Amino acid sequence: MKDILLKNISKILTPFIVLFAIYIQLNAENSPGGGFQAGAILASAFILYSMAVSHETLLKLFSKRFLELCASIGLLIYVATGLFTLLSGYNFLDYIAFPGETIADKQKLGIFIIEIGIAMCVFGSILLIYYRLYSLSLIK
Amino acid sequence: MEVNNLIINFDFSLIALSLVNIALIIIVMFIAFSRNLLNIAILFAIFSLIMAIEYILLDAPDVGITEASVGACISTIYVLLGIVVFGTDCKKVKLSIKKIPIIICLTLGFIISLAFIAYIPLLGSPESPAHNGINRFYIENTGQIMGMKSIVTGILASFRGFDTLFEACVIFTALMSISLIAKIEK
Repeated sequence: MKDILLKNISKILTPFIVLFAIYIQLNAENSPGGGFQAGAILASAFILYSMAVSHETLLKLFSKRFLELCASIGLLIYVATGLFTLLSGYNFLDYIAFPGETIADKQKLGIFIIEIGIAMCVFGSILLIYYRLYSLSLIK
Repeated sequence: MEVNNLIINFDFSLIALSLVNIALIIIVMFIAFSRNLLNIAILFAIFSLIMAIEYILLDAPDVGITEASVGACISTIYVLLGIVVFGTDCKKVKLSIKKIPIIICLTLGFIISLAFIAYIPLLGSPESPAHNGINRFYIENTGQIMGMKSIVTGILASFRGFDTLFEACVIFTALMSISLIAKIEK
């Protein structure tokens, strides 16, 4: 039995937190924030939804398999970026290897790609740890 | 006129910082003497929120956002789920206090902290070691090299790319460890 006020306010609040996370992710160049913060805020939005509204709906939206893939692919994007620059003849994670006119453009492109990787890794890890602990607490 | 405004703002931030620190000390006292795990988890959440305010007062909004989301929200939820599993009572732990070691520890700690206080530079002092290392180069050049306004992102993702890579690895390792311990399907 969940409180109707909490349930409805959480339902309304969740999309705004998701929007804030996306804003932090995409506007990391000009405002504080970045991949780590965006992933954590995105995960906390869905944790709020799970705790206040319904865990089963969240399980339908993000299955455990999807989150495992999300976390792994996020880390893989990061490492693959480093390997790409390495194979292009530069140092590991040296973004000069990316296409672009100026050094600033190349750096921005590289940072954008790895920020997406970090956000996916953090989001998947945090939400999956929550799933695990939640199922552990159901056993009790 | 602008200089005067700056000085007033700086004083205000110092006063606010002192208030925040006093609040933190009070909360830590409550945590140390509380015997209920649920109370301690909630107090830690409040501690993290006040810590986020302190980071923002110290001009570190990136760390403030991280503290508010990870420290206040996510870690609290993890601790609460752990409390659901293990219960809220922690009276079984009995503290055995011996006087002589505590006196030695307190005296040593007092002497060491006095020595540190003597060498701590003033807040915002230009001569402090924190402002004269490689970070001076970062502060002056990151904006031009990356073409970014938020230099923290540039430093973390480009100059300190290796650190961030292994931070992501640490989080992934935490996920794998939890999956090993709590591998329970419904």
